[in-house]
Amino acid sequence: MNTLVTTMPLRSSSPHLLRWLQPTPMKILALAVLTWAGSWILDHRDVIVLMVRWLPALFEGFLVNIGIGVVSVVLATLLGLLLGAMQVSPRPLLARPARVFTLFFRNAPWLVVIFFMMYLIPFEVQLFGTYYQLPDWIKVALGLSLTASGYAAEIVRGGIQSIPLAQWEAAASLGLDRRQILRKVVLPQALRSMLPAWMNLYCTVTMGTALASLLGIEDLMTTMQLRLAAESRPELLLPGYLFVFLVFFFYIYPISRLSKTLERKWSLHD
Amino acid sequence: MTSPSSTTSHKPNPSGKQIVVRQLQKSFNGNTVLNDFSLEIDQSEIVCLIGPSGSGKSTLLRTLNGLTPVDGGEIEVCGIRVNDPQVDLLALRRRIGLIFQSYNLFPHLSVLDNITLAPTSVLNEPIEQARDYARELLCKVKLEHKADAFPGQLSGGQQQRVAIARSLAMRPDVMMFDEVTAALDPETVKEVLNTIRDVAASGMTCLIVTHEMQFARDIADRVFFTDHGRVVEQAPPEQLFSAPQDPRTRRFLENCL
Repeated sequence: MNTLVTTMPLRSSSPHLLRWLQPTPMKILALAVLTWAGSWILDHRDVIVLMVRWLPALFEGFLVNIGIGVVSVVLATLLGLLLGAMQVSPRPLLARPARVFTLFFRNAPWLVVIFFMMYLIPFEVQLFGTYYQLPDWIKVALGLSLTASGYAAEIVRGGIQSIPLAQWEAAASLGLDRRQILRKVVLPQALRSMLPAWMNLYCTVTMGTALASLLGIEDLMTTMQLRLAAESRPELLLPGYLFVFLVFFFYIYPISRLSKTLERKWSLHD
Repeated sequence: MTSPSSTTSHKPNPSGKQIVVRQLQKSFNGNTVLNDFSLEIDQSEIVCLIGPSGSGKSTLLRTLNGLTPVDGGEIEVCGIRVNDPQVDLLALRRRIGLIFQSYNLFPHLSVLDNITLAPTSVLNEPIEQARDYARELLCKVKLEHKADAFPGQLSGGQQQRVAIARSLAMRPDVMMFDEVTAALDPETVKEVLNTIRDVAASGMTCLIVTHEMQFARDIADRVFFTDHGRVVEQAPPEQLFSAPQDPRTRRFLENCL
């Protein structure tokens, strides 16, 4: 690598490589961390072996997190669409309850709502004569979706209000009713401004799924906790939870970056 | 153009008038915009409203299709009493087309979808039939080659002609134009005015707010001069432009001709 750099005419042929090699505080920090991590791994090869052996179980645990996240964000989106559309209604009978609901759940602590849902929802429901057991992770997803729906409603409301009034008037002049205008004219245009914020909400909800571990659901956190407890080696705690952190980070960071990119790109064109 | 009103059931108006406005009152935050405004328009009549900005012309058009509620007076359009609290606004708007200064096409839909949206969702027209009629209308506004374009890809004049086609697709009985050429450059003004001429020639009742005096003179059956929210003077164009009776009208015409 070094010889390549020195023998090549740097300025003309590889400006990218040159820029990449230029030291910045971030890069120096990253290098230090990597060096430290590398030496730590070399010293603790048994920890790595252990983690690799745990990997399938941890992966299954993370799938639970993703499942909870996806289900709650889908439910939150549906509920948020309804609440957001109600909030912009000219009828106070629709708008006011939606505003109160949104305000309440946006200001409710996530964990508290989840605990409430956990004990509020019966452990089985009767549907068409047969009993279905509700798995705990569904209850957590329901709890998360309630709080997230408050945020989703705000995203929808903001998106709807970003569309100029002239679009409403043009559609109304053609004889469309309010619901048709919302569904066919305003919301399709608002989706664009809503998507980045919605992706951020998905990231937040996914991070929130770690709360499920407090209710004994076997997600990534719980799986790691159980394994660590079984080993009872204190020096494993830090790398163990660092691993959990990294899994969440590498799942969420790309989504968050994409949402930032979309936001910048779309705001330029409008 | 074939008469678009032939396909809709026509409720005969007791007075025989398509639009009747009596003693209309409207103010925004204590600012009087319409003050005792009255006018009557026959079927197939072409009426132009001229006058200084802020004289209530645009507000009048918006009250006619119920976009702006009025404070007092009476409005009757196509036999529908607009200021009746029980009025079916959707039924009313199906019969009046309103064209805006800023076109207001739906940017997320293609030209063809812009035109077919209302007929398919409001009149429940089958999509194929709506598309055929939309293509026919696009031919009439001379934009048949732009059916698949999006509004953002069209010039202002083209967008305005699409907006006219979009309104015509609802087969309205009355068309209202609200300073539709005000935002256009002089070259494209002509193509839009020609489109309006075609619409007017088809027997459509037209109510046109405009600052294009020559156009008003050519096309109108009657011209209304408005100022401070009331009709100052109304007459056939020759008379109003050549021999205005009111000093205010004279002053206005001297300033802009």
